[in-house]
Amino acid sequence: MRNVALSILAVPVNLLICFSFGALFLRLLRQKLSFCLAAVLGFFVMLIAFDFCCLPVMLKWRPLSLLTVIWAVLSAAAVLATVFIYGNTWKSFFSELSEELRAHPLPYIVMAVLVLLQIVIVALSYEFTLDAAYFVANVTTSLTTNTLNIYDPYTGDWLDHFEFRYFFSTYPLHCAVMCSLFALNALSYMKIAMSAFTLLLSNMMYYLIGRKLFGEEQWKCAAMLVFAGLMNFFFSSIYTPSEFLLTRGYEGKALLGNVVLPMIMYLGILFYENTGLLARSAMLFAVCAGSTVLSNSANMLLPAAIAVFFLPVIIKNKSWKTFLGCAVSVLPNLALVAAYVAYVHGKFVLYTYPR
Amino acid sequence: MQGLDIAEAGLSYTFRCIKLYSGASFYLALFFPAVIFLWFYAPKTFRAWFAYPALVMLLTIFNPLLPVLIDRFFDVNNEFYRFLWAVPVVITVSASLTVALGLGRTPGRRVTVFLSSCCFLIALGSFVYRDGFIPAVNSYKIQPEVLAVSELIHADSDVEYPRAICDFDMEMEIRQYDGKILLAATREEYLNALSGTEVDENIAEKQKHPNRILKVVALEEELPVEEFQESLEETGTEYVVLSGRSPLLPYLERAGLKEIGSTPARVIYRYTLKERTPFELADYTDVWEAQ
Repeated sequence: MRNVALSILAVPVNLLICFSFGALFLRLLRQKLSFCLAAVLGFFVMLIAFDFCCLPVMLKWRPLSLLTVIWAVLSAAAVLATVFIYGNTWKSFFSELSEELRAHPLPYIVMAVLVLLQIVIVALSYEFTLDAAYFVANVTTSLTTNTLNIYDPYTGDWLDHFEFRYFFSTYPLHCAVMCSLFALNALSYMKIAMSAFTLLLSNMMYYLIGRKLFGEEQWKCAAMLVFAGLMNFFFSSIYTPSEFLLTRGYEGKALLGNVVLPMIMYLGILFYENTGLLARSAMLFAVCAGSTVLSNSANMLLPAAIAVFFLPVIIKNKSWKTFLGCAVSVLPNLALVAAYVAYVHGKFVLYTYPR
Repeated sequence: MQGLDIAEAGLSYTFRCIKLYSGASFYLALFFPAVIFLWFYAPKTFRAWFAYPALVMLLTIFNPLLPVLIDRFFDVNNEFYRFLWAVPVVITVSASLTVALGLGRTPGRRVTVFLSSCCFLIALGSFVYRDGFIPAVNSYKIQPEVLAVSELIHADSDVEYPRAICDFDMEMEIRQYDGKILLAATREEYLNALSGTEVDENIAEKQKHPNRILKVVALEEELPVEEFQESLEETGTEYVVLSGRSPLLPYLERAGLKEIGSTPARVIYRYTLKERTPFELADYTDVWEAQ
């Protein structure tokens, strides 16, 4: 019961942290605060911030407990900074939010019930997947040994070097840190809290795209979410992102397929407006850089997805600034691909002990 | 992708990949019809948002030449299907159905369109729980057997980190729950043993002992007892967890293993190592002080 309660609590806490990072980022870009955009964008900003905290700790072979303290302080600082920086704006933000909810109660109730229903179904189901033997076991291993990627998740043996394929994908270590903060086991956190959180972010993406497509017609957004939810439950083979969303939502790949790629499409739509290019390029950069933390697959997939969604924008708007924004955004992904190729060819090794 | 090789399939790879990717669902086939529907029935702004990227996808992701070209530089056999993730099937089809819904002029017509759209999606899809919904029985969302096996091993062992080898399902799950149980074989070694995949000579030599153990545990081969014991000694494996119905149980007893307990579906055996070096976590204190 304790595990379930803490897993449920972890979802709003994660949401609050993401929202705070996102709100700060939107303020930095001088953009209007929007709840869904701040939460989704904040997720990527948070991952980048986490990577910056995690990598030096990992490279110095320091313990997970140290990273937990650093991350707790930074997260708390982000939440407090958001509260203070937005200051008087909160009143109008919440009154706008409640006005919106009161003006269209039915669509929002439908959307909330729909998301909740999906979360409950996923949380109650048992799934056996081979990838969990790495992802969940990695979190469990980090918690048991109080280390960061120094032991093999499959066997528990000490590794003499960091597995570079997963070196920058520190998302499992973020999960380990959150488990430490909540005093929660890896299985409950990942299979309940993170699966639910991925579903939540994915539906927020559908909502953001729906709002862009249908404007103030909230009932259409609700209908789109219903169709999308239904499709996810019926678009099932072992390869589809929908299957990842419902059976292993805690994996970085599930977030890649169901949050990152819809976000790229959403930003592509925004870029057609050909305004605020700098701010939107910064958002695109955050999504690309944040995705490197989720999964190594992002490094190959993101440049391809950006080409698909942004090539028409660049041609239609004849905008070299958009091209430049895209080119800079995929740099982190391409740099990591290059680093990985160099690692595979034996150009360097990152050891887990001083040499 | 399972059983699919770009070099072998050539230009037909993309089509075969799409077939495997879709499984029993027809949603991917709905993508282009949905884009065409939006072109004609949605506001003009939708054209740029949906049709133009779809055109680029047609020339790239759906282009049979692409995997053949990429394969010359990178081995993408296992990952190529992920390019299909960039095709926003769920968003495009659900957006087109919503537009169709908006075309209904009366509430009655909208309800009809909504219900028929849902039926249409259900009919063309493949339900994620088609093999049955298996409810989780505990907050760990794991087989209760895992908890019981872990408890039995730790109750019997006098070291903090005992090493075990288990049947496939248990092997894949036990370290998700219990990081203090070490395993004698990695996931890849296990999968290679089951599928009979041959590995490089150097790797095979390195994996000699885990592979011998897996021959017994995973492939149910009865190796000479001395060889099995040697590999248990070399890997420091003390516990063997197998199904209670395994035909190997008498063999394990002949090899000197003793039953220490059982769960409803499994039996746990212990092998007494002649030489034992208990596993200890690496101590980095000196390194930190030097830093």
